[in-house]
Order: sequence, then structure tokens, then C-alpha cells
Amino acid sequence: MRNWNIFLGLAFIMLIFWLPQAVLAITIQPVRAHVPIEPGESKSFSFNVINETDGTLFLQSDVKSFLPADEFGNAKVDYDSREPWHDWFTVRNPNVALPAKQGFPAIVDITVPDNAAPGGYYAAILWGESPGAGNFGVKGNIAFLVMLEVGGDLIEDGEFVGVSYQGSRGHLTSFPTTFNVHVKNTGNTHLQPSGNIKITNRFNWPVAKLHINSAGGFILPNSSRVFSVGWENPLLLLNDLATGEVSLAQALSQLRALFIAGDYTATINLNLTDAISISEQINFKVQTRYPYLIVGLVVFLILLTVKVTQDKKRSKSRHGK
Amino acid sequence: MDYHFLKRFLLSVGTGFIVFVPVVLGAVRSSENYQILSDTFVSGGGYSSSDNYQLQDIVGEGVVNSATSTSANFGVKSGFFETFGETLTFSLGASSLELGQLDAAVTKTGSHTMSAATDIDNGFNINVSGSTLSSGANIIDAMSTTAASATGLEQFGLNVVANTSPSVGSDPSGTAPIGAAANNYNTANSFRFVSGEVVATSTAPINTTTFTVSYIANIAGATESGTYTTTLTYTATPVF
Repeated sequence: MRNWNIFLGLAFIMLIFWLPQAVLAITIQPVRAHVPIEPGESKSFSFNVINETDGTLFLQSDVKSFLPADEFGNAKVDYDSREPWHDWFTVRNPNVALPAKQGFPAIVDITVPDNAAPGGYYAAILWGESPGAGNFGVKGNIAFLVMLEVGGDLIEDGEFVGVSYQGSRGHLTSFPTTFNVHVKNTGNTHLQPSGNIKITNRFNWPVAKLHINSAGGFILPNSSRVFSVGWENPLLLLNDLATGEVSLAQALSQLRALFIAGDYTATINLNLTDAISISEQINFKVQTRYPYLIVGLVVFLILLTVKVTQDKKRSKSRHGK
Repeated sequence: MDYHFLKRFLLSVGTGFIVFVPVVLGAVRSSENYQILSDTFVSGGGYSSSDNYQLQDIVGEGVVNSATSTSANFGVKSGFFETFGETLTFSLGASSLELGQLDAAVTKTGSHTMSAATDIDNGFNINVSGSTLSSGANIIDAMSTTAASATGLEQFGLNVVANTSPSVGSDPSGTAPIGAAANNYNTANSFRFVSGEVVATSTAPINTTTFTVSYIANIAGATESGTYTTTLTYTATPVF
């Protein structure tokens, strides 16, 4: 019996140490908020923080600025600076012992002073644990992004920088392809542009309509962002087909564009704000990568015709006998 | 074989798994026919009120300005643990590392995992912040440009893929779709460390992805002796 107890104890200990254990595992929901506010006003919001581990987490909160890390909407937290406006944010319970598998609403109060300058302020509400002891500490944080827009003399302005597409020497050579629409925010608050790219062939027939920024991404002030738009599937037009925006023949012409080389025009219609719209056109050629499919289809049809013809001749000769 | 011995053994191992196996990261539970986007255990609640609304909530039911029903200060999405459609889960596999005693003739390595999952349309990233190894005023040079590990030079760098020279790390793994190591940190046997840079990323929703961060440290013969320390912070951030 004593051996049994030792054996069971060892089995449990082995399981504990053999299985990987996360020291930190947090879910936040939602992940970002756009908060319009006026000088002198106070607001509150919350998001859920959930402990996904099997043990209690001792979480700490902090408020930092976030900046664009690149032109694709990736954010980076600025850990080095402390801005006076960070004090506008108060996390009600900045230190929480969160039991295993439980969540809580992290409530954040914002009080904007009367003399606050209008424009966008970009805060990351961080939740994480302290790093472990030792010479090489590793700490994890998860960031809830706040896009705070203080009202007043807001400047919503931007410019179209350009559009590029995958291909070489002015040719689209393969599908799916991606149009990269490059836009710059020259105002003092964030923009959430939306729009579409309409692609027409040499006969001005629409062959594709692609939505720009369908995920609702933002451009922060004094930065630019690239919105990547894929042109990959003729089925994208089915919705437009259903609403009667394009005809069946027009939808089918995108299928043609996948196989037939030629001259095409992309018209970019972009609404930077309710008041500012941009329209740009670029011309490009499609150099299909599927000629072998067309050649193969033709060869197959020829062989099929020959076979059918031969079968008919044989059948006739048998009946003749 | 003793039947009772086998039975007790299987029972103990099974119980061990139930008690100690870490629950799959992420708040989404699913079966063949159903999916619960988020759930929670509840141990509290209370009343929240504003000029126009009063809400008897449970722990875990938050309110946001963009919720379905709103007033001056509060909003609510009805239901047991409201779902806003966008979640981000981040976990870290270690809170400290041990590189051992640095040696001019041997590359020292270390690694830890981190995991992430999200349903954000635009994806998310994990960036690293912190300083290189330092001992007072002395530092080991951070690898500000991507390079191979070389003994005899001062180097401190990391990447997020499997390496053979030195042998450390693993490629990002999980059930597709998964995230990826970011540019500059996605080439085997090439390391780099620039504070603030993105080391892992996705541009669309992903299932739980395990990233292995691998570190190398090299010193020169003339590197000052001392205890070198650092703390690195990994931050999971939604794409805005």
C-alpha cells in the first residue's frame, strides 16, 4: 500500500511538470474602442479581461501611448514616454487577483480637462503580470486600444498617395493579386476610410468591384496606411449580381479577365471622411498566366471532335455492312 | 498483470489530466454542432446605473459606449456574457529565462513559448520592448541588424523560427489558419533585437498559434565580466 501511495504521488508530480503550463494567458474582449468626447466631459467604458489559466493571475494595469508600427495598422506601445494626457485615464481596479477561468469588466474612466486640445489621443490600456525573478525576466502584456477623439477644431484631412499592384512592368501576371492603396492622414484626428476599386476592361465593362478597408481600419494623424485589397475570386461579384448592380454577362467577364490578357482600368473611389472623397484611376495590362489552360482546352476539344467523328464513321461502316 | 493495479493506475493518470491539463487557450468552446463564443464562471455582480438605465449585471458583463443600448454613461448588450465579436487571447510560457554563464567560445541560447489567438478581421501583432543584456554601464551589443550567430562577437538577438545554428527554437505551429513570425524575425539562423519591433503577426483571424522565441547571446574575449540582466516585455496588440 505504501508503494502505491509513492507511485501515485510520483505520477501526479510527473504530470504537473511534464505538461506545459502558461504563466500568463489573458483574453480581452472587445479589443479596441473609438471614444468621441468633448473638453470638460467625462465618460466610462469597459472591456472584459478573462484569465485563461488554471491558477490565479495577479494582473496590473497601465496606460501608455500607442503609435503606428508600420503602414499596415500594426500598433506598438510606447513604453518610454509618459504623457500628461495619460492622467485623463483612470482604470478603476488597476491591480486585480483574478481567479482561474474567471473574467471581469475592466472599467476605465476618462475625464478630459476643459483646456484639452482637440484631436486624436491614442492610448493602450495594458494588462499583464510582473516578470519573474532572475537575470532574464520576461513579461507579457495585452493591449486594449483606445482612439480618443477630443472635439473642437478637428481637422479631418488626408491625401491619396498612390496605388500599387503585384506584377512587373505594368502587367498583372497572376491571380489572385493584391492592390495596395496608400493613403496619408494629414489631419489631427484618426480617419476610417472606406471605398471600392472598380475594374473595367477596354470596353468599359465592369469586371470587378473590390471593397477597400472592409475591416474598418483607422489611419492615425501624421501617418499613412496601406490598405491591401485582394482581387482573387469572381464569386466576389455574386453579391452585386444578386442586387442587380451588375449583369450576369458583366460578372462573367471577370472570369474572362482571369484568362484573357488585355487592357484594364482600376478606378479607386475612397471616402476619407463624410466630406472628403478621392477618385483615382490607373491603367494596367493583364498578362494571363493561364494560356496553357486555354491551349489545353482547345487541344482537348480538337481531340474530342476527332474521336467523335471517328466513332461516327465506324458506326456508319458497321451499319453499312 | 494485476487488474486492480492497472485500474488504479489509469484512474490516477486520468484524474491527473483532468486536474492539471491546461485548458485550451481562448474563450471559444465548440462541438460538432454548436459553438459558444465566450463563457465564464461567475461569482459576483451588482447594479450599475446611469440617468436612464439600470443594469443588474454579473461579473464579466461589461458595458461600452458602443453597445447596443446606450445612455450618457452606460450601454448594454443583452445576454449572459455579451459578445462583441472581437477577442484577443495572449499567453506567455515563461516569466524568466536562464542563459547560464556567457562564454566567448560558445553561443548561449534560451527559448520560451508564447501563444495567441484572435478573431479580429485585421489581425494582431506581438512586439518586443526592452533593453539588451546589461551589467551596470556595460552592455552586450544588441543585434540591430539581422545576422547569424558568431562566437567571439558581442551579440544579443532573437528570432521566432526553428534554427540549426545554433539548434534552438521551433516554427510557429497550430491548426491553420495560424500566425507567422514577422519580417526580420522569420529567417532561420538569423537573429535580431530592436526594441519596439513586431516579432509575430497575423493579418486575419487565427487559431491558437504557438510561437517559440529563441535567444542567442555571444560575448567577446574583452567583454567585461559581471552579472548581465534584462527584462523584455512582449505586448499583444490588435491591429487598429
